[in-house]
Amino acid sequence: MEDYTDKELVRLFREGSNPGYAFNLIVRKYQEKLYWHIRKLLVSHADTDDTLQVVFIKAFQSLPEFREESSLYTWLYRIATNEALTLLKKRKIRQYLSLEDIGTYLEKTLEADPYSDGDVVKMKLQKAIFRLPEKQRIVFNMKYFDEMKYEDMSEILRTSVGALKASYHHAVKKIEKFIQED
Amino acid sequence: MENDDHIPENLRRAGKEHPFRVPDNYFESFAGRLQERIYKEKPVPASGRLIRFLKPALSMAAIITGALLITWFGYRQVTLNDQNGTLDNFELSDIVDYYLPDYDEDLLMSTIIETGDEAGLKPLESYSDDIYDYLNVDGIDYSLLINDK
Repeated sequence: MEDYTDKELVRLFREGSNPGYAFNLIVRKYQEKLYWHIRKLLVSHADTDDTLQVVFIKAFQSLPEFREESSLYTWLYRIATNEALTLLKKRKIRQYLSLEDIGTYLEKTLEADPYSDGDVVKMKLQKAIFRLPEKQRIVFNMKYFDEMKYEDMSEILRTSVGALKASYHHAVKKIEKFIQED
Repeated sequence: MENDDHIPENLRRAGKEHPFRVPDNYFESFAGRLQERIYKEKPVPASGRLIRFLKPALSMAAIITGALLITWFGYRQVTLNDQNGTLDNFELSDIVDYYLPDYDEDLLMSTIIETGDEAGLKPLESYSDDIYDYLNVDGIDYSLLINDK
């Protein structure tokens, strides 16, 4: 696969004779990154697979109107984050879950999911992350696991860099405390 | 605030690995499965989109029209029934004009007495207590007036 930049991929999709091919290149470039981003929010593989497909379908339908005010990378991450949070919100409403309950729900989902390993240390860290408020959880995952720049996170989450740094700092403190106590 | 990327020791031990896995060949087959789904979910034609957009408004209009029709038919039924059993003013005056020349005062009184008996009306004396109560409402003791007489 040739290494196209995001701008080249968008142009190829819009102006090329085969938009299907261009879109396929976009999918192959971002499928793994977006999968893991969604998976860390939703935990279940089945939910993640379905949400990832929805994300790419929406991107496929909206790409002709994409104004390139943000990069393709942050645009796709934004769609993925919104779709994952929307699904989580539906689950919360359907099962009458509070903030504490959502942590327990994610923990149970992790334990029941056939596509997760039982490593004690990894599980412990995840359980600590599940106890964080939603925004802190997203920020922690993006910074700690994906090592994303605050500037990109700011564009994706539409939050100031300062607020993101504060969120990450609080998240780290809480996780540290949880791991020490547990 | 501490360094933004500072990771405490106990968190560092947990590492940056997560416990999630994917089925074999998941990423290799994903693009193909996605393509199939995109072809299945082809965009709805413009006319279909318009109908989908208008559907809630059309449903609401149908419900309101239905409710109005039911109300109107119900009202019409009630008023028709009323009209069958009653006479309007013109009909009544026609009947009075037709029968009036045949009536004299005695005939009228006997007719009233007769009708009263048929209707099971009580003699006037039996209403005296009611009349007495009615007259007392204004606080005038008519009994005194009666006794004075």
